Amino acid sequence: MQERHHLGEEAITRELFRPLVSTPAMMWVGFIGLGAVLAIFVFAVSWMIYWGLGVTGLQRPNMWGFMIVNFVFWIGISHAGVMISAILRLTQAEWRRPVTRAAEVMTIFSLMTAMLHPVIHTGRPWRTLYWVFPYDFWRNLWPDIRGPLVWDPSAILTYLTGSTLFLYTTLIPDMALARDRTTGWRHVLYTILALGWRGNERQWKMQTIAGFLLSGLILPVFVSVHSIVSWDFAVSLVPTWHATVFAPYFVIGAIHSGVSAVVTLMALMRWLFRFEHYIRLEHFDAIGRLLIAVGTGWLWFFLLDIFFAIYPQEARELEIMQFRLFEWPFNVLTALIFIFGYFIPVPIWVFQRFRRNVKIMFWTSIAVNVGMWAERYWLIKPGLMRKYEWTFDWNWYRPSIVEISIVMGSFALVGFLLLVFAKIFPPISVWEEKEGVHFAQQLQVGKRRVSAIVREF
Amino acid sequence: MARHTTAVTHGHELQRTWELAPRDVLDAGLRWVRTLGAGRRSAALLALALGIAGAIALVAGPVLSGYANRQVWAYTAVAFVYLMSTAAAAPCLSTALRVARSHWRRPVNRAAEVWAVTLVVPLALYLLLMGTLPGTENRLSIWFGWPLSPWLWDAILMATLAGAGYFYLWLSSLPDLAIVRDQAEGGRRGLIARLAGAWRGSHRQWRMLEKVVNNAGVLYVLVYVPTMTVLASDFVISMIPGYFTAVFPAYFTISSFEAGIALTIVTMAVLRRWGGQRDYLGLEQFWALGKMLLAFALLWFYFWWSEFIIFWYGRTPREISVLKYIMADTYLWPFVLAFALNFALPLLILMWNPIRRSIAGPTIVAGIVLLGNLIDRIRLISAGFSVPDITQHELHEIPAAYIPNVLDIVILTGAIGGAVALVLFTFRVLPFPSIWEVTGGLWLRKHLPYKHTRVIVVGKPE
Amino acid sequence: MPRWGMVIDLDRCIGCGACVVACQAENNVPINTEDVYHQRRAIEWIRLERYWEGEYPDIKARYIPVPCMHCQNAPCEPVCPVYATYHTSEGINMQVYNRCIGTRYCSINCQWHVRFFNFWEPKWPDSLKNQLNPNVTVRSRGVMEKCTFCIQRIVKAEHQAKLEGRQLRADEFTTACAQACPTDAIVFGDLDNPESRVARLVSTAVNERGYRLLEDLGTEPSVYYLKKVDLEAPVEEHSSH
Repeated sequence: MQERHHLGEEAITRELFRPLVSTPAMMWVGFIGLGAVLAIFVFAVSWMIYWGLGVTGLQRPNMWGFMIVNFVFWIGISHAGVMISAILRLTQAEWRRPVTRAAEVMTIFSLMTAMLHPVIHTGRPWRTLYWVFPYDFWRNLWPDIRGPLVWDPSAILTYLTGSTLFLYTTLIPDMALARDRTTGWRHVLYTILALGWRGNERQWKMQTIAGFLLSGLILPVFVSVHSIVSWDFAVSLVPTWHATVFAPYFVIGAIHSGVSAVVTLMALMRWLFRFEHYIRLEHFDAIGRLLIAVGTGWLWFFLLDIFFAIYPQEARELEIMQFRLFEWPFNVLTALIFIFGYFIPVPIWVFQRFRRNVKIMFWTSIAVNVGMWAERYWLIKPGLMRKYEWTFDWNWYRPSIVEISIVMGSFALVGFLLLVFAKIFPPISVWEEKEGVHFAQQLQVGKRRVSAIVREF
Repeated sequence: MARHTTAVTHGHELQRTWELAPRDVLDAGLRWVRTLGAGRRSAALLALALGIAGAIALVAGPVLSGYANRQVWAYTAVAFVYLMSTAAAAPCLSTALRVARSHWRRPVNRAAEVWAVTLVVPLALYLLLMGTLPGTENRLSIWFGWPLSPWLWDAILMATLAGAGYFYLWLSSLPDLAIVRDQAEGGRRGLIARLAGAWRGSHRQWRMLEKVVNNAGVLYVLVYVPTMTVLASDFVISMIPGYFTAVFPAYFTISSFEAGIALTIVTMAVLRRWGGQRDYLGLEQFWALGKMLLAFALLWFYFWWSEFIIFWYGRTPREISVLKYIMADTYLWPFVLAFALNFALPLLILMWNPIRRSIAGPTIVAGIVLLGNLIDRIRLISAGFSVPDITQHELHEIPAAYIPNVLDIVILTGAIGGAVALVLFTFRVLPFPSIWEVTGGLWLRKHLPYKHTRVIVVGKPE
Repeated sequence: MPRWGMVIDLDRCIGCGACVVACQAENNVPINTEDVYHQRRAIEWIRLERYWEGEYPDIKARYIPVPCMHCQNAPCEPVCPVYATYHTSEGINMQVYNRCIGTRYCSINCQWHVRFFNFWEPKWPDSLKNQLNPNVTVRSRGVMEKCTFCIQRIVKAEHQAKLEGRQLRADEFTTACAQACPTDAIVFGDLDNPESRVARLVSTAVNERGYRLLEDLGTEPSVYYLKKVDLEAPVEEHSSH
């Protein structure tokens, strides 16, 4: 069932551009609240860079901590954009239209946030930037391409470039629309960004081809990014990290958390901008059905990982499994992952009644991401705390206030950037929405009129 | 039958299927049931003969070389696993297409589901192999000391899978069986009438069917994946000491899905060429499945690579010896062939859209993939069944490769022949195309004029 | 080309900690204050680990000095993105402080926990500043550091030999830890020179009671241990760790 309202093109343009010109009160609350947390974040990062990593809770066996966990989490979130935009574009899923823009933007911002973590997490961030960015080829000192930490920035930067291009390609027609309707600095900005778009047939054709090509090209990058992030862990010999399943497991986990984050975003946009006519219940329904499949796939890989970590019956691995399954606090975390990541949300999503309830979808999607954050922590930390049989080196990891601030701040950072974006660019793709209206048809089947969709092929 | 099966518009092809009247589909289905000719019968009898030869070899082989020798059973296991990877995977494809509500799926579904009828062959093979599977007490297994593992639990899974498969096939062909019951004549009526049961096509029955058929498919997939996971572990991972890998069950399942798609494409090509299904199985279906096949060929590589990179990077002696055994030394050539046929060739051929958008292209690649999957399964199962001592935790010396003899080949062809024979016999009962599905699609799809072209309009009743 | 290695005889080790102190002095390792110990961020290129064997009341304290194993197939090397850790042609696993950016991945992938990170800017009391070894770099905050098999001594000896136009003699010099060991438990030398003490030990005692830490990982450590000879203990099958 589609409950599409019949809106004229002008009405669509006006409504979708509304966040650019008017600022709802909640948006101010968002700006101020997130800005405050962001200030703490900036302070924490500066403090850490000034004093060194001594201010964190990291120590000898636990050389990686909250920041790396958070890095993996945000990389995971960034997988939503391509999942929603590219895959659903290629498969022509009609329900993608209102969420593509938000998902792509979230991809970019969460990638940028994620990228920040490994940089500030190194001992000498200034050196990291110096070695990596204007790379010093002149002295023939090459990076070690055997190292996963070289694959990692390569994959992530490729993904960032690709998804930025992708977002921009889909943004151009809207920029032209905005250019024609604004004055002042906005007009200048939109004129530059619209690249002289006039909306003639050739331009549309090229824009469509570019969109499809980028969707196709970005898919392998999409898979490679989280695979490579997983190999950061899996190629090392740390027991429970050195698992062959990590790459697909991380990717499916990323899709699970990323698509859930898109649901969160959809609900927020619907409430904040009153986009009820665009982000409709059928969209929640469709994304909920997708999430059932993704969540179940994730569960399969999760169980594979656990089972085959126990399977070799090796003392080292068993020690860690015992620790992470049965000992405080990891026993609680295990339960949390299962319950929040799967056993609360998925059975709820099975019922259409609940999939069409925005509040329930919002809270279940939050639950998934709580579970998925816990899952990353659960995956990464126990292996380090109980690394090999050196009982004298086993140690707890307690994040310091600095690390906690950075994690909190990263959420504020992404949220703040999203809000800023929504003030400058339309948060729902206007031209895609209009295209969707053109594609919507009705079919007479017997006595019923059935809503129908035009297929391009 | 009209020669021009398609109308071209907007640079794409609009298949004639969707311009037919429901009556045409009904006629086509009934014509299929009534006029299946001598060609099919001789093919079926040939396949049956192969199957019987295989069954004889299955008894003769162990008698000649002794039951205790696990290696003798290697090709029985290969046949079992190969059928599980191809025939048993095909119904999963139809479930996926149903759940995704692809509008082009309707004529494809039955070609995929019909393979569920062969599930009895792997079930029988498993029951034979059960005796050769070593117990799990002194070795690693995922059963962790459960009583009667792995024998009973695998058998339960296999039986459940077969049950779910037959149930799914039966449900999805129920309305058509009723049509045949009401329209066919002669000796077959009794059987078909019994199969069609009390289907009268009432409103309630239809609503019930539409709800249940998808769920039956989902149930089948939900049984299939754990079954393959467990088989991967019991037949390969736990048979090769030191093969500590968590991704292998996923690799096993994903590569089976690839082979299932390939099998469906080959079935479609056969039906199109010799079964008079040109109106129903057209470019649209081959193109779409070609894309899926390409995607799964890439996934084959991805899942293989995920395992390889970890072993290769880890470099512990245990990992190196496993790599040498199943990829680099002992089974080097089977591995190279499996790599080429499952991934490299499909990628190189199907990456060209003109090839994907043809009948021959996807069909040839599907044939290649079916062969590649067979070689891959031969490699893994032979490796698994050739390790003399599986109680150790590491391969201390790398066993020699197992070279099949004539009996092994006869067993393998026999199992495949038996499965093909079952499908060919089922063709006599099941109408092609699937009448209820295709007619259902006709209601929900129109080719409408739009500006200067014609477009496909697909109804979304939900 | 020499191939440096070490044999540590646990039967001789009395757990005095002289090796740790000598290493600290020789290699400009920062002073580990109490705070740093409690934070578990102490830097000890060679450290003395104590563990317990047996069940109470039949329990024994055991000591094991753990320097870097200088694995021939070191897992810490390929994971460094900037080649800050690499293998020398003499079999030493080397750390280039200038290149190090402090990802700490090498430490993650070192199963022996012998790579140390400078969490804080290293500080010495004024009285100790003149004691710093001029031949060894003082590492700054944010870099990894580890045992180098006293590379400065190796370089000096090799240089001397070159000046005198001769081959390096067996056991011409030794590392600080070996030099300081009162019971001569630590023996350092060229594994490829059959005349060196370490090579002789490897061909004799190591066959009887030698093992290497985490040998099953296949990383080929260059440090061999000789098992404690426990006269009271029943004869038991030896395990690798």
